[in-house]
Order: sequence, then C-alpha cells, then structure tokens
Amino acid sequence: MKGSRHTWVRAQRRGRRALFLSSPIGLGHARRDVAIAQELRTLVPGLQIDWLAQHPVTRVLADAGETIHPASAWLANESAHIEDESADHDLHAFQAIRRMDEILVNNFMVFNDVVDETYYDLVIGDEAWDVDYFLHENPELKRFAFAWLTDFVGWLPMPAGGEAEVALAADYNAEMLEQRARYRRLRDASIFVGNPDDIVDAPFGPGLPEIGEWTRANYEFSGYVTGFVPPSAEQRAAVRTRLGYRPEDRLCVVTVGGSGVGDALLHRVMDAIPLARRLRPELKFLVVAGPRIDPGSLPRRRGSSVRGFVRDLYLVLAACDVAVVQGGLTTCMELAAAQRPFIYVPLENHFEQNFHVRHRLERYGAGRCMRYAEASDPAALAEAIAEEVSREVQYRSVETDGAARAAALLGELI
Amino acid sequence: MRAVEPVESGFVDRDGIPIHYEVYGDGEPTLYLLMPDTIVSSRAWKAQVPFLARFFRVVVSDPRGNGGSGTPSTEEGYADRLQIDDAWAVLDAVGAAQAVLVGLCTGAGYVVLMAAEAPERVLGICAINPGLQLSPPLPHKVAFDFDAPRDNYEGWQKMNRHYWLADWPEFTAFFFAEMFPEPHSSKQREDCVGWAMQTTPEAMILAGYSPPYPGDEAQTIAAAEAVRCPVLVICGSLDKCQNPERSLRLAEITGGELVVIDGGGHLPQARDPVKVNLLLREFVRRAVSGRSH
Repeated sequence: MKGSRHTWVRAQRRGRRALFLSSPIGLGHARRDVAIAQELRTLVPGLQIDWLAQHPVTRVLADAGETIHPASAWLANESAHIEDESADHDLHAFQAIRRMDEILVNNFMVFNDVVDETYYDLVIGDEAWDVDYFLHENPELKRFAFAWLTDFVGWLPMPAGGEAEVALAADYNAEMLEQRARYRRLRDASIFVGNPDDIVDAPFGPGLPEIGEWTRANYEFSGYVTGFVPPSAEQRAAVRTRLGYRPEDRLCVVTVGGSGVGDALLHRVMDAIPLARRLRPELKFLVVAGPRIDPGSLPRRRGSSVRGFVRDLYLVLAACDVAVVQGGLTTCMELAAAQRPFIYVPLENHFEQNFHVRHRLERYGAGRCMRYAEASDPAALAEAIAEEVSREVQYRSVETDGAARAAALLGELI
Repeated sequence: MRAVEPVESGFVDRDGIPIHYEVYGDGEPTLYLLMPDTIVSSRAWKAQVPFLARFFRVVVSDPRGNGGSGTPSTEEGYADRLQIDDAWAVLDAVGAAQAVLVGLCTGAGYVVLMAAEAPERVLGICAINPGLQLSPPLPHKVAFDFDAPRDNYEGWQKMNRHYWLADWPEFTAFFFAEMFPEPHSSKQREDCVGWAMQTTPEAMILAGYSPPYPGDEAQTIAAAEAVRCPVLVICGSLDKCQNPERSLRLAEITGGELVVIDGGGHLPQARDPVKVNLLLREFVRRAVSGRSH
C-alpha cells in the first residue's frame, strides 16, 4: 500500500503477550477474568495482557487497572443489543444471540485486525462466541494459541419454542460438534468454569451426544471462579457499617446483574418492599441498579436506598441477610459461596438461567427459585423475602482456587 | 440491533419512484454495494457494511419493490436500464464522482455494465455470482414453464407465477433453502425470507417480466470486454441461481481475478462473511492503489 509502514519484530525479541476477550453478556465474566488474569501474571512474569472489551466489562477492567486495547472502540455493543431484545422480565437468550449475527461479524473483524497488527502468544476467549465460531469457519486465520472458556455447554430449546426451536437448537449444537470434530487445532484449551457435575443432564438434540459425556471428554475443568476469597465475619461487619446499617438491621440486597435487562424485576421488588417491611420491620433494602440502569428511574420506598454501580458488589452480597437477584450465574454463585439465603428469578425464556444455572444451583443446594409471574405478586415476593431473611443455610462449599487452576491451564500455552 | 448506524440516508426521486439509500462511514474511496433484486433489501449486506465502513465510505440502496424504495406497478418500472440509472442517481446524490462497485447476482451484472459505460467513474468492480448472459441458465431454472398452472408444485416447479400468488412464503422458504446449500444456514435463510416478505409476488412477477439489458449474449460480451478497471469475481461453486460458468467467463473476458468458494452457494456475503469481507477490503485497497501510481 502506498506510504504504509510496517515493522516486523524478530521472534526472540517479542515480549510475551496475551489478548483477553471477556463476554459482556453477564458482567460476571469480567470479574472472574480479572481474577484469572491476575493469577496468570504471577505464573508468567512479564506477561502483558491486553483486553478487547466493551461496556460494561470496560468498567470493571478500568477499576482493576487493566489495559484496554484501543480497537475496543470499534466493537459493536452486545449488551445494548441484549437489552434491546428484552421485554419486561423476558429475554429469549438463544434467539437474541442468533439475531446478534451482524454484531458478531463486526466484532470478529475487529478482533482479526487486532491480531494482525500485534503478536499475541495467546488469545483467551471467555464466551467470545464470535471468535470461536468464525475461527472454526476460517481456520487459516488462527495465528496464536487459543483458549476457550465457558460456564455452560449446549444451546437448549425453551418449551415455548416448540418443535421448531428443538430443531434449531440441535442444529446450532450439531454445527459446534462438527466444528470441534474437524478442527481440533483451533482450540488449544477448552476450559469449563465449573465442575463435571455442573453440566446439565440432556442431549445436544435428537440423535446427538449427551452434553455431559461430550463435555467431560472434550473440556478441562477449572472449578468455579468466584474471583475472591470469601470475606470473614469481620469484613462483613465492616461493609455493613460502611454502608450505614446497624447490627439489628436485616439487610436485603437487590441486584440484577450488569446489563439493563433487569429493570422490570427491580420494579417488582420495589412493589413488594412496603409489604415485606410490614412483615419484618427490621428489613432494610439496598437496591443496586447496576452500570446500565439509571438509579433515578426507580421509585423511592421507605427503608430502601438505590445505588448505581457498586464496586466489589460481592462484598456487599456477602454482607447481606437475604438477596433478591436475577438468575445469572455469577451473582447466584457469589451468594452461594458466601452462604447467604437468596431468591433468584430467572429471566423468562432464558435457557441458560432456566436450565444451566438452575441445575448448578440445585447441585449446591443454593437459592430459592421463583418464576417471574410469582415474584410479580407483591404479597408472594414479600412473604418469600420474610421467610428467607437470616435463614441458616448450609450450601455445598464453593472452591476458591478456580482462578489459579484456570491460569495454570492457560500458562501452559504461553 | 444494527452493528452500525448510517451517517446519512435519503431518497432519490426517479420519476415518482423513490429509491432509498444509506451512507456509512466517511473513508475513501466510496464503495457502493448493489443488491437490486426485488426479493431482498440492502440489509442483505449487513455483514459487510460495519466492517467496510471502518475504512471506506459505504453506500447501499434498496431495490425497486423492497425496503425503503418505491414499488412500480408496471413491468417497465423494473427495467434493468432504469435500475442501472437508479444506481448512477444514488452515486450522484451522495456526491461520489468515482466509486468501487460491488454487486451480487443481478447487481453483479449491473456493475459490469456500469464499468463499461462510464469507466471514468468506476475505480474497480467486484461481481459475486454475476447474473449475466454469459452462459445458458442453470437447467432447473428453465425446465418448468413459469406461466403454466400445474396440479402439483415440487422443487423448482415452484418457480411459477401461480404458485407465487398462492403461497409466496412457501416459495421463499424453498428458494432460499436452495440459495444456501451450506449446512447450518438457518439464520441466513430466515433473514432472506424476512426480506422477501417485504415485497409481494405481484411486484416480483412484474420485475420478472421487465425488459432485460443488455438484450443478448453478444451485447453482454461486448460490455464485459469494454471493462478496463480492476475486476474481482467471486463464485460459489454450488450456486443454484446463477450458472457458475458465468463467473468463470466474466473473469476470463475481463482478465479479472477469480475466487471460487468451493462448497459455497449464491449468497457467500451472508454465509461466509469473514472471507468475503477480507476479499473486498483487499480488492478495494488494491483498486485504489493501482490508480494512484
């Protein structure tokens, strides 16, 4: 090209470098990925990690002091698309991701230019659907070690979708199975963030393998990655004091994850607060709107305070006496790890929250599931909160070495 | 949600028929993606626009009878000559003295004709599965009479005006299943069927009878021989719409580059968007750098 300049760096002069891609659908990926990145740096001294990321992941990365690649500005926003696809407390996750196709192509093209311009030893894709899919479709574009991370395997049809959705989900799963069978070399590691028993007991579709059997044969397991050491009783007390709660207050934290999808549930909880406080006057509510919902858009209730983004939300969750949350994996597992009672309300038609996450929580014996219709009855929700608050729970314990185990698997590739 | 929004959109009035266009990005040169077949809209370029608009100024327009463009009520209203002039009118409206032209199927035929008739305005052309009379049509497309009613309509017998009027959705489902022979193309098929539902079988029948331009194979060859700019031809080996021979012959006559997508169908820009995007970016850069030396 006329006037273009290029420097080729001799192989031995190149510093060790990794590119981290963290899915913005569910803010929990960012927190666990930061934890993995920190572990990875201790294993590989001098490793430079760049992040190709979009809002709200960038918010978490900025707080953690991570380096965001400037090409991130070219990414089309997946969170905005998902919010656009949701209505009330309903998100057809599978169809929403299918309809995200032009965003995925765009974002893969950005990624492809980034790895053209910079030498990366390793690309880590935590549910980076675009990169995994289009690499398998264009295998000649791979020029780095590639590690794939996920916390669920298999698109599952929702009952409302009928036979057509059964066939469609099976077709997507079949394509993935064919891609993996033909191009083993495309992934240098497939890491399941969890344990073998966390995998749902279901086939990929009619005539296709069992998800559990296939995943156990094709993945390595890091255990769950919470990204933090469970806080001590002293730390919990300190958080409560910092937030202005007295020892006799019963604190209910309400949070709906990092996207704007949970807006409807926040309103339903607001509807139930007066009733819940009538049942348990000592209840105080802390409502966390998250980085993509305007706290000012929510009504005010006595005994409640509303905040936007809360840094280190896991500490606040660990300090609560009960929580009401959406069915996202990260928040639910943070509560499970902290042994707190909680109510989770999966998004309707969201296959991951209704099947994959629910299965995992049941294995831990954690949380009380409520359908949205049930939670929309203020009396029913208030009663559930009153029953759960300060309830003694004994969940299966969540491992704390997940980030280190994931990092060890990744470190072998650099 | 779209991956990128247009920086400009508008209409050109073509004797009472509005032609809707959109402009994305502000780079150089202007790159015009043509999709003038009434059965789809310019959204069929959705996998190209956001990527290419990072580097170039990308223009798209809807065909007569679909998207934001008007729907003529006569066969003549869909004439190839008129639609080629639509394309020139859009380039005039966006102030593009010169452009690289990319077309698919009928649109690929148009870009060849445009490069032949106004070489000073065309920096390069990419023709994807060109619909040009450079070979006989595929046998299944002419095996059955389009106008004769039948008792049953199986396979390509559905390419029939009576069937279209009776069950347009079913025809489009059949047709786009044929257009995407690549396995696991459910989303691409659904998209195309959705765009086909934005038009009507009546409009499609009028378009099908519109006057062709140029009229015969000799005139088509003459036009292809007149092309002087860089040419890229992309051909799906399993295309069931246009005879792949046409791609081979166009590349031969123009001395252009031919890229065959082995196993690909009629709409590789949708099914293999990454490959097509990279081919297009490289081609545009090459076409422009050739000019500047």
